[in-house]
Amino acid sequence: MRPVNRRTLLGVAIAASAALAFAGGAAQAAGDAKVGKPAPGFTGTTATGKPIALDAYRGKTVVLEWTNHECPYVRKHYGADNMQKTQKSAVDKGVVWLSVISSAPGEEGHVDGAEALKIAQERGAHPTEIILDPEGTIGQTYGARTTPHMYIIDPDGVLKYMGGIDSIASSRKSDIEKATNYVTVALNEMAAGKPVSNPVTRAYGCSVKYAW
Amino acid sequence: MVNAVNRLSAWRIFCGFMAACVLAVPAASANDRVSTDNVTARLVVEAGQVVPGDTVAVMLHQTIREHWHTYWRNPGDSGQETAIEWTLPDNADVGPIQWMAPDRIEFAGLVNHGYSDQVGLISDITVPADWPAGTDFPVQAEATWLVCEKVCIPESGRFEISIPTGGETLPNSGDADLFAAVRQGLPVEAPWPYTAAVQGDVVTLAFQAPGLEADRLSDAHFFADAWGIVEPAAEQTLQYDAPVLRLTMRRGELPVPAALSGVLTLREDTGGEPSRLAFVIDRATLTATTPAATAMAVQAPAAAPATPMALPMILAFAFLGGLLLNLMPCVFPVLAIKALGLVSHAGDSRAARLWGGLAYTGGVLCAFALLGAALLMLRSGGAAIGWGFQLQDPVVVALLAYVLFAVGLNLAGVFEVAGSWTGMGQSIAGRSGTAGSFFTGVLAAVVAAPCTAPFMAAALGFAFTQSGPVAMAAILMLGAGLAAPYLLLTAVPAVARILPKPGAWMNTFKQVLAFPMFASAAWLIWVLAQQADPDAVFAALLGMTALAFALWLYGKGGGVVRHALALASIAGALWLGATIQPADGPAALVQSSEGERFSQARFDTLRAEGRPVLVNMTAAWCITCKVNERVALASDEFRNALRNSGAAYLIGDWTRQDPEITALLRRYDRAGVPLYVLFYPDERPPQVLPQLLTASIVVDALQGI
Repeated sequence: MRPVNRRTLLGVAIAASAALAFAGGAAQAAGDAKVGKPAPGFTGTTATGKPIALDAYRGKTVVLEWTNHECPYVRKHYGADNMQKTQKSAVDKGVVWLSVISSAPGEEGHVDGAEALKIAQERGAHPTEIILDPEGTIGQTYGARTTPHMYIIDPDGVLKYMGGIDSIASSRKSDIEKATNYVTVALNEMAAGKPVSNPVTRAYGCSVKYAW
Repeated sequence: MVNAVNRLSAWRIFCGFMAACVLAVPAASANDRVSTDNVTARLVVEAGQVVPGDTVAVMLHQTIREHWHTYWRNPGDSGQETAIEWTLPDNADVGPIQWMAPDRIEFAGLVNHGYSDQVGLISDITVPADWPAGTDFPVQAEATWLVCEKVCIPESGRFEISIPTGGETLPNSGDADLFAAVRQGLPVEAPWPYTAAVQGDVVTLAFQAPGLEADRLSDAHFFADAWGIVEPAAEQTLQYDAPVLRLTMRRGELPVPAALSGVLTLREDTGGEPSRLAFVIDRATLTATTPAATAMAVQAPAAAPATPMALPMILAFAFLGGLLLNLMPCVFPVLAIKALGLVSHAGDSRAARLWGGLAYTGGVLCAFALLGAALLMLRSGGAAIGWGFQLQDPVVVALLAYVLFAVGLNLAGVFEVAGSWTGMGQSIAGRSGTAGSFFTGVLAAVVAAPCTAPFMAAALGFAFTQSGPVAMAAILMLGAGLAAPYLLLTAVPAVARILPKPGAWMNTFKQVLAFPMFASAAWLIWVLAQQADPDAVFAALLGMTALAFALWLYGKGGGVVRHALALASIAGALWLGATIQPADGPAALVQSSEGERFSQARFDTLRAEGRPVLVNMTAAWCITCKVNERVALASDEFRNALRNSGAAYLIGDWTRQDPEITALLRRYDRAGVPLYVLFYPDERPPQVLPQLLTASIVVDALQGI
């Protein structure tokens, strides 16, 4: 099946035809993101209402984190302070951390900018920016399927990692310390100039709540 | 029981705070049910009482809230598989979850693999043999599952049950139907050989499935065992390009693995109610080449688990197999005669001997190469064949029997061939000797090939799962192994010296060697009898008689009349061989020695005799029928139950829509096959069995007679 570009997706969304959405949907899930290839560019709006473009971060390592504060798997990692620690250690090293919320209006995890900022503050998160993506455009482009779903882009704009936050797919907090944190490992390897040892892993969690 | 449950609830609350008390739970307690907002889960035991040392099936059964679902072992784009952690007494053993075939669950462009409404996850628990019979066997399970509609909720349940033990197995009264229904949903072994290939982003699963009718098939979907192999949401396309059934899908995000495993589901419209079929795909070797090349690498589903074997190993085994071939009853005489030739010409120059040995080796290798090439070509053409394929054609079998019989007659002294390819003629030395040696090699390979079929099939079957060049290399190594002993005799004088001195014994020995050849010919006639009817066996035997007559005449030598008669007899023998037809009808379709071919007249006779009758209506293109035949009707349980019941078993072949069968199908409101009906000897109305059979369904029905 041929990859569907963003304009096609937009057309599908506008047409709002159930049949077309279905056919497009099948291709959407795969996304355009491929490890070792330039990460698909995007523009969007942050929780504070300012425009944001991936291109602006060229020269820095960028982490994309798909999130939905109501999803049990997201709550596992925020509830155990795991995601915050991962964010902090990354941001402290100059990494740009972008949390993306692709939940559609009316779906689980959909928030406006003020709510998003409040949640981030309440849970002590350290994202560089929070991107609101209620149409799911960025999510579909990257083929983000779950919350959390993680992507790492190197300073040259090349996608280096896509997949899960760690190696044990469960909703149990107690599994976190036994698991390998793929994001931390990948960031350390990239900083050391080494290839990422696990560049593609299974992203586990709730499905991203795209418009249906 | 109510009391026990209440007490147990108290226990559970207590246990919530004290994980350590797990081991202290009284054996008599029972907590087999956990209800959450979205799932009612039960832990169900198949047996009411188990014998220590035996295995008992235990099922986690989930009734799932409408529109919600739980997950298969590979949950797809998101979600999480159900997991069970067992706590069992020492030395007890528990097998993996036997997963029912999943459904494709679509939501907002993502696809999950899971279950709606209800699902049963069966695991087999083995009670240790030293467990004291009469003491209840405690089973504790901590199950975790994710249940999702739009939102997902991780849930869990703690189950504690005890299984009574004793001196005999007793059934559990209430849940037999539930176990039967769940087992119907388990994927079964695929009825066809299959292979897998990857090209760019496209993964192809190809089945050698002759005789299908493509428009009866729909909703094909392959569920890969693990994440990242096949893209769950991408469309999959089923194509039938007879005899190859091909499913193409999009590759997942991980690098291509060495083998493809998972479950294929398929809907088949057999004329009546469509059936949903589910097949296990077990380690289909993935090749990253063109589809044409992968068509050669057909994997036999019945073959032993294909542990990846390195090429040197394959070749070493093939060589060893070739060496062993020298001892086969149909090969040994040929080799022995060649060796005798050396004995009687002990004075030949070393070079002449070596030349003979090399020619013999060349003959063997040429014959094997030709056989291998034919096999690979037929394979790439899509024929579902294996080593020994030449034995699938009764005409070839008859001709091979002729050859072995003729060699036997030659050894017995009925005739001699000048410059004989058995190497006993005067012309062993010199040029014609080289040709003679070459053709002895060819002969050795020709007579060896049928012998290899039963012995070498598995090893060569594995070689054929490899690429064409590897398969060819394995075949040639087999030939090299076959040729090696004789080559050694001719090349190393020291070895040749161990051969006994020539003498009169040689003639006796030669004649003795005729009998293994006759025995091999007898075996081939037995093979023929499996493939064709008694007329064919008679034709082949008559042909052999004509051949013997011809060779006897030839052996006597002499005039034109005798030679003409001999030629006429040979022509007659060949004509008789060529008239042999494979037996048609259901014998090829249903491998069941118990069954008879259905006809209305036969059916009426049996009914008039008051015999119970089991009718099986099937067709060559019907996959559901084939699966039932494999899963249920080929089982020993079925055969025993059939024998004990005294029922006649009639098999009707509807491949060409026989009107008698159509009439019977109509009577049972079926527009198509399969149809399984059990007719009782008494007044009870006939019982129509379900369209998807398990062994226990048929056995229970037969025991009900």
